Amino acid sequence: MKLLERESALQTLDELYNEIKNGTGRTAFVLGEAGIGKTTLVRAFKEKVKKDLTILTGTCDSLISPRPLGPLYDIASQLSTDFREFLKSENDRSELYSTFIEQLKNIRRPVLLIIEDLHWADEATLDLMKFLTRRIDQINCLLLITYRDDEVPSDHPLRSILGEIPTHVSRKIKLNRLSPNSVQELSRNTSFNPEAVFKLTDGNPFYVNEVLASYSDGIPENIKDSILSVFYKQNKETQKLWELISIMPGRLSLKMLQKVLLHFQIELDNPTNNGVLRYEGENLVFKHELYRQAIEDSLDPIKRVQLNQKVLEVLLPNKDEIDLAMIVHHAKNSDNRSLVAEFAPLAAQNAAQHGAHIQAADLYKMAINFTKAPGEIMADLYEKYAYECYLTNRTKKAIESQLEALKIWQELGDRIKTGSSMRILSRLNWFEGKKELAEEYGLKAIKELENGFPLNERAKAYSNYSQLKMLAGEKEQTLLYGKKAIDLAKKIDDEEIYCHALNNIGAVKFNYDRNGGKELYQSLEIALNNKFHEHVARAYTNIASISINHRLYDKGIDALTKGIDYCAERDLDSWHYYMLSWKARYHFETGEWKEAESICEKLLGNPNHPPIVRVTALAIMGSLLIRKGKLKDFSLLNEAKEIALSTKELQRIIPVTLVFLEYAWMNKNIEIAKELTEASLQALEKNFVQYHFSELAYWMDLNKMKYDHSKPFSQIFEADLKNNWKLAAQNWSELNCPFEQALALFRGDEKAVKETFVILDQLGAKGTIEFLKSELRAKGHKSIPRGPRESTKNNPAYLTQRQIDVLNLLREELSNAEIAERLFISAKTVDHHISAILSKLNVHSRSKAVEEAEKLGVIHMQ
Amino acid sequence: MKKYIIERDLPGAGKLTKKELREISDTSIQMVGQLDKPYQWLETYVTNNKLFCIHIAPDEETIREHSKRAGFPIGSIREITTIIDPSTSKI
Repeated sequence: MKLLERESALQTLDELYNEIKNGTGRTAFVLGEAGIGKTTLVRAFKEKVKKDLTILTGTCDSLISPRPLGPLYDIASQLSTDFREFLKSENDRSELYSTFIEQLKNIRRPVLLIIEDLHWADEATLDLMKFLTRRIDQINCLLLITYRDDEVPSDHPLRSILGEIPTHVSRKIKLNRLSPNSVQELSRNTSFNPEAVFKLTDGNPFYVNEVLASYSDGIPENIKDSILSVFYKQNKETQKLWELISIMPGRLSLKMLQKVLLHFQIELDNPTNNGVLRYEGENLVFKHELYRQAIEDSLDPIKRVQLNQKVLEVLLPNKDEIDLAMIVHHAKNSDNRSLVAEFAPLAAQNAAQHGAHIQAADLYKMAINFTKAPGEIMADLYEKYAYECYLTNRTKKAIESQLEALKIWQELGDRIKTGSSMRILSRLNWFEGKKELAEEYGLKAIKELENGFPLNERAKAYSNYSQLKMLAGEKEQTLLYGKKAIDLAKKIDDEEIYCHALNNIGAVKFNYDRNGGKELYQSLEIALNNKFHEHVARAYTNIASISINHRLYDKGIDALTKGIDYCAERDLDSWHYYMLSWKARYHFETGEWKEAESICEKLLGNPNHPPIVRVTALAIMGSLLIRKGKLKDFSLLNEAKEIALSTKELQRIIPVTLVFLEYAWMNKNIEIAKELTEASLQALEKNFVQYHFSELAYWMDLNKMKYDHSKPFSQIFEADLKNNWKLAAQNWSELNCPFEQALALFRGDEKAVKETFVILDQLGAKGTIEFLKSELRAKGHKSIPRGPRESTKNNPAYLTQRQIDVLNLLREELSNAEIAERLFISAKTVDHHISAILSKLNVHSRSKAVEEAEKLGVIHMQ
Repeated sequence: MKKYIIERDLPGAGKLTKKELREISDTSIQMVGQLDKPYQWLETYVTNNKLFCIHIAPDEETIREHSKRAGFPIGSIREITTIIDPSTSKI
């Protein structure tokens, strides 16, 4: 087909081609409706570059349920047999994806990797695309993806991937319909009226081409007729072949196709000579999917069923060589209920193994609808469907299906299954926000499973209940059931349950004791050793968030840096973003406001993040704006408040309340913080967490609100609340919290007050400065400090004590690893401190940093 | 009625505490009570990694029903056809 109006698209591809020739990877998306010419464009580009690039192609197809990782299997057959074997056997997806990247890196020439029709992709393929596009700059490869943008609804998982692709390494090429001029040019040497052709086809290149190439006299009434008129002109043999190929959208190897053809007594005699069929690799396919569809749709329903039945007669005895999704497709299209019931669960299992959970769920659902099996088998299907729904965030459906399973297990009197079902329902209901129901099922599960026999199901039930109690902040119950889980897990030698239970116990102990938490580290180590990815992520998250709540910043940033790296490598996105929100809090509290702000902006820019990520970022952003004097309206704070109150969780309500109290303090408007303060006090009533209570008291104190003095304050806030400003300022300085240090100094003598303004100026807290100055004026102070000049002698760059420690060791020319060892922190954390030092001193090397620091007198020459 | 020997895998069975052994017995007896068929649990031999239970029941299916209700895993079920001991000998 002649390429018209595709110059700019080809030029974009050329530009990308030049970029990858320089060694960097790029992604190109070619999008547009069916028949717009995506594949034609790709083919033209392929022709141009095939001398210099290694070309690999994978295609998604329109089976009822797509082949899991189908395109990767296509590509694997073009790579090594080793990789194909690896692909079949490896269950760890991140391992599989990284190995694939390694394979691409090992190819000597730059690679053109083509993925066609991504709108039909299974979930695992979409995951792989996310993984590849995020790392494309590490591979010398042009990843070329085509998809029909009008067939991707807004809730399609492809949408969220497209939203997250780094824009500096990718381009989108949208193909438009042909203009009347081009249609006229194409019609020039034909007998057709160009205007009529345009009217019928609307400029869709495939249709234009079909109308012009045919065959009928004059313009057909619709385009399908045009395609079919070609079909009817063929001889019987060719018609039979086309019909057969039309019902097989999945890809069959030539060997398998020949078996099918033999069964149908069709001879393959130069099938591509009239240009309607063509070979793609070793697959025989129609020149366009629209063509295939037109012919399949034209089949008489009975004939269609018969053809599918007959294809199955060949596929079934060879089922080990073909994808199960293909069998399900033909079984369903031949109305063979029992065959669907037999193969849908197998295909589902295969899909789940490859990580295509959306497809697995669909296939289990299909199996449930088609099966009339005895109880046990049904219950098993309901459970599997529930699990896949849970994995794909369809919790309500998961609960429904799990309830069906439970009903059957109860009828059958199967005690272990009944107990397990109840435990799963407990977890699902917690996800759905139904805490009471979650606890009810949690306890019922334990009761059912306590039969004296040391079962791992019972250990899981204990650990689940312990986790629920940990999340509710009930220390004693967490420890009680956590210990039961640990004892049992040890007895039956189950590392995963042991790891899970240790995490719950560790989290609750650490939460109540600044020096606690050793179990969390134990849990982390077990999880790392066993590659329990989710448990690793959970351990890092708990260590980081609780450390930061205790203001143990070295521990916190160490866990965050490692945890974020771990999750980024494995695309564990929800954990990754949640930890990022805590990293923002770390920067915010330690006076690195620029970094805090930039993380929050990124997180808030994506509306798809879950509420717990959003509310953390909103609270920090709110504080920053208030302190900088830049809060324009209340929408941000109102959103934070709404989310916090809806979670009913102490750890979400408190941070937002503190922001409101800060605003109330600066605007002398206690009313505005009243509702949240009361909600906080109520939540603390149920679940007393010392550091939360103390910080709340600290801000209530500033607002001159009454609070309960009988409760124990955490040491961090004690000096402030007892009005010992000197000790408080010193403590905050040691903890590395400049803002609180400044507020403590403000209660001190004249010199201290001056220091307050120096610190706040360094932070850029213009809003707070203005407010405190007005406070001084109101008290009748005459000499209001003007600027930071006088007191900056000691530490003009405002480095933290930890950063000065690092600088001193840098002067001794120690490596990061050596510094880490001396300061008992990780090398990553050292790295983090050094980049902060460089930025604060505005220099670009370690030696310059030492020089500058000596010049400023921050560290002293020996 | 037939006599059966049921094998159950239980790593660390030899270390079960008295309390756990009592709980297992309680469960077994309760479940016998719930069956609407004649059923008798005679005794169980506890070894390091396995339990061997001797039950009397109308058929194998009833044995399975009892285990399912109790939540006891089954390794194997064998019907006991006869029992021999030193008295079987004529020496």
